Amino acid sequence: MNTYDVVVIGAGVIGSSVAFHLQKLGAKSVLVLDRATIGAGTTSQSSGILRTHYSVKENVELARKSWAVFNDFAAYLGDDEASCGIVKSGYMIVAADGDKVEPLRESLEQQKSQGIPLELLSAQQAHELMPIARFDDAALIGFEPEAGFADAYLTATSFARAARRGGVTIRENVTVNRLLIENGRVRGVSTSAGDFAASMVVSTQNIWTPELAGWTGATLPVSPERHAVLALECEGAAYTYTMPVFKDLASPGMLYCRSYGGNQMLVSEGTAGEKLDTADIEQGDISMDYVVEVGAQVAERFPAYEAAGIASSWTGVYDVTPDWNPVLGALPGIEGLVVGYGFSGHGFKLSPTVGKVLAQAALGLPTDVSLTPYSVERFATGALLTGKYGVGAVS
Amino acid sequence: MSTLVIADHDGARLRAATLNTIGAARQLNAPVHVLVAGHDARGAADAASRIEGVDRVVLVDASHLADGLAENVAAQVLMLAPSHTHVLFPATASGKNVAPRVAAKLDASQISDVIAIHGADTFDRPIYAGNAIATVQCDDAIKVLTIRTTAFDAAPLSDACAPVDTKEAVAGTLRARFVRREMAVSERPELTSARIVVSGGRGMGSAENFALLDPLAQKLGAAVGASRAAVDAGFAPNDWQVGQTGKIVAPQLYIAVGISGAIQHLAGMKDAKVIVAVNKDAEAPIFSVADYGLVGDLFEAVPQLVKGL
Amino acid sequence: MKVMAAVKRVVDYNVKVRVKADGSGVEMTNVKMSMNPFDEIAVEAATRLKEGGHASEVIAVTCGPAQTTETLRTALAIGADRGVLIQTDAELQPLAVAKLLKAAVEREQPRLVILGKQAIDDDAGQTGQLLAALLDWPQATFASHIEMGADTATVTREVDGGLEVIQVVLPAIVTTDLRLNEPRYVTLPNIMKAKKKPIDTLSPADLGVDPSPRLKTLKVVEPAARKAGVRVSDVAALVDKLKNEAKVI
Repeated sequence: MNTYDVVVIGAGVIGSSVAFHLQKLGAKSVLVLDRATIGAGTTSQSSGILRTHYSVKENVELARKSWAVFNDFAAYLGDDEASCGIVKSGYMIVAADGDKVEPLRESLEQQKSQGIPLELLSAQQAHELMPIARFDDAALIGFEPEAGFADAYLTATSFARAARRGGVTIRENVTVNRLLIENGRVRGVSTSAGDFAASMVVSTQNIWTPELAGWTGATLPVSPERHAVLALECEGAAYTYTMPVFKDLASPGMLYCRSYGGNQMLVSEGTAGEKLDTADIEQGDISMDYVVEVGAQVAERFPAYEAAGIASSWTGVYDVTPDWNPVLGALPGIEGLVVGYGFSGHGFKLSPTVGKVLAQAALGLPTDVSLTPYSVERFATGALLTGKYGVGAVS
Repeated sequence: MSTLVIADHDGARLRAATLNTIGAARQLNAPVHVLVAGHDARGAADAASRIEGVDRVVLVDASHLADGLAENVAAQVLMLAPSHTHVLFPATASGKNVAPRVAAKLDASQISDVIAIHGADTFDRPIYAGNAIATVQCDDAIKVLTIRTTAFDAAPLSDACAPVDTKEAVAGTLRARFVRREMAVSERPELTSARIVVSGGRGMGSAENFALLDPLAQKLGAAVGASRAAVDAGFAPNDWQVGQTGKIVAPQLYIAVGISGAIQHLAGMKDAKVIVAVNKDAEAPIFSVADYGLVGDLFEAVPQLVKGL
Repeated sequence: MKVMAAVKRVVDYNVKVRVKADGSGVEMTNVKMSMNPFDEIAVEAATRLKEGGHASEVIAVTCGPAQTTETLRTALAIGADRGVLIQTDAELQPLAVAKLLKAAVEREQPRLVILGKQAIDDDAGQTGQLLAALLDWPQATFASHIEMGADTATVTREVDGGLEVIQVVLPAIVTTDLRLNEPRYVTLPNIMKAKKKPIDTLSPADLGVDPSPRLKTLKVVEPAARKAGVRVSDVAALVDKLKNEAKVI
């Protein structure tokens, strides 16, 4: 068959969430295309953090709704065997005296007003939750219990499996060469496996979005940035699954960390990374000097980790937009094109709801969350969704 | 031009790998001589003389050659190598152990794991775990090769009998000695030369569960292999490992049970003639190389397969 | 006694290499490089020998371009005391490396040299044995266990069909197999300490060795793709295909 109601370009966690929701919302003939295999792009590199803490309130809404899905994944997918690999460890965020305290306070209050269960902790309480960390420098500590981390690749493949069960066709190893556009309307896609007709295309192309810009002539600001992630092992100071995901606004690199395998610490900087010239998810070099530098920041908060061993390290790439927030919704100037890109390193936690709202937008249904703030036009009008913490993925 | 094939044998018999190496040697279109170096190795020498394409067998029999010490075998090879243009070893543990010593003494750039021969000086070999194939050209007067046995057909038996010459052994080294062997005891065929291999992965779940593959292997007369993940998890012993850093196999039939298909594993089995995958994850990478893929519960499928064969 | 560990900088084992379209080789620009995994095992083995009192000093040696010092630094962070870089931009093949290492061995006089059994880029598996022959030293390859004596090493080797144990008189060459050990995680303090450990840089000319490659690579291609397979719905269908279509049973 060569004609579909909707074609989705990209089968990462966002694209497979879109596909799942399309069939759930009643779309009958949906085709998903990926140049490689499901989740093989930036999805497989995700650290998998799930939290609702954001300084941008619209993101809190997307995150909160998504959390409800992660928390009840099998039921949501209607598949007893589906799993997103969730570890509900909670999320703790700390600021020391300085320019991050007020933004943190405001963001926490904003979250509270949106009904997110959270507490402000004393240093003592924080230490009880996270005995391996010190908090004597902490000016403000926030904690949300409804948070943790999960497995992005597993989530993507679960969404894909459920989508297939609902009749969606997913074709891997198919490269889209261009959109077929006639008189400002999308007519379909031209691919390495032939042409497919469709009146609606959803693009979830992540760092490959510049290809879409080329096909449409639209201006779609996005830049690939590579970030290094370390797994540290420290005997006697294991980072267990009961310890929360941690965000250290006091560290120069705004580190985030979580348990890895129940004993190691996965840690990465939450600031700008290495800008790449091309969309490329290959592993980058992580120099020993960099490891030492991040290690020193970790040791400030987790004293025992001064002697930690580097168990492993890898890099992941973010699709970064000027305000570190995604572009969602119909692309103006072209009929029949909906986009979801630019998640800037925090897309996985939003994927269930983003998939739903993009599917709704594609089917002409009202969206659960307003997409107006996420429009690509904001870059021209200046209505940026800038986070309060400066550049970084907690926006 | 003439080729010297270094036989891999156990004294009484030639190992299958030697037959494939002779098969490779014949592609050089030059006389093929087989060196059988060992102790009480007359049986192997006679076997070699009855292989098609062998023009001459040289038997070097001495007690210090009983255990295949690289220093000692290499010395025998070096005695004969200068009168040949090519020296071929099977890429077995033994061949890989000995060949470079010979190459060094001949100042030759050994070509390891040859999978194709294009004339006297040009050969194909896999690099990067078989993710790329390099064609290399060698100008050495004597070329030393190790042969990936799965890439060449075994030379058949001949009606004729080649002459067997005996030669006195070069003295052995005083700086290495064999202590003991700890062979795995098994009625199964050897993994690298088995016609059928049944392999288990992490999906088997435990060492006890791995035994579920035994009736299947038994029924098929197959060898049992394992993925690195299964070995690392303690489900299977080390010498069952198939993969880039384990054994390379190319059986007629490879059945991967509960194996996801990591690239390192694929490197070890992707040249099998027919690949079957049984896995409950429809998206497991193994299915991209499998000729026949069965998505399902291996704990049901394997017993069913035993019944249905 | 001194122990020398030879290490190689290779494309990281997690990278899926891409063959260049023009067939001249494998894409190497901007590709992540790391120490050959078998060589990590070699450095770990050497370090354990030192920690166990069998060795007084561990020297890590490598051949390659200037950036290879990063690899030496990793070896120093694992536990080597000193590093030696034989610096060259030449394409290095095993025989040339063995000759360079022989010269380094003659300089340093170690009683034991430990190398990885193969490098995961060229998969040649020769250098240890070549070096042994050039030095006229005994070899114990594919080691899964090493027991040191006063003047000997008793090595368990992984061979087809099981294990064998041999004993070699020092000085000797050992090449590592996967199960010899699990390399320790490099610690942050040791990375810092490694910065202060000395690295000597030599050239092949210093050692009187010509590193030029002798095998000529005519082309590099991707392996032939397999024909696409099919899904079978159940075991009965599978058995049918194997019997009647593939004819393998």
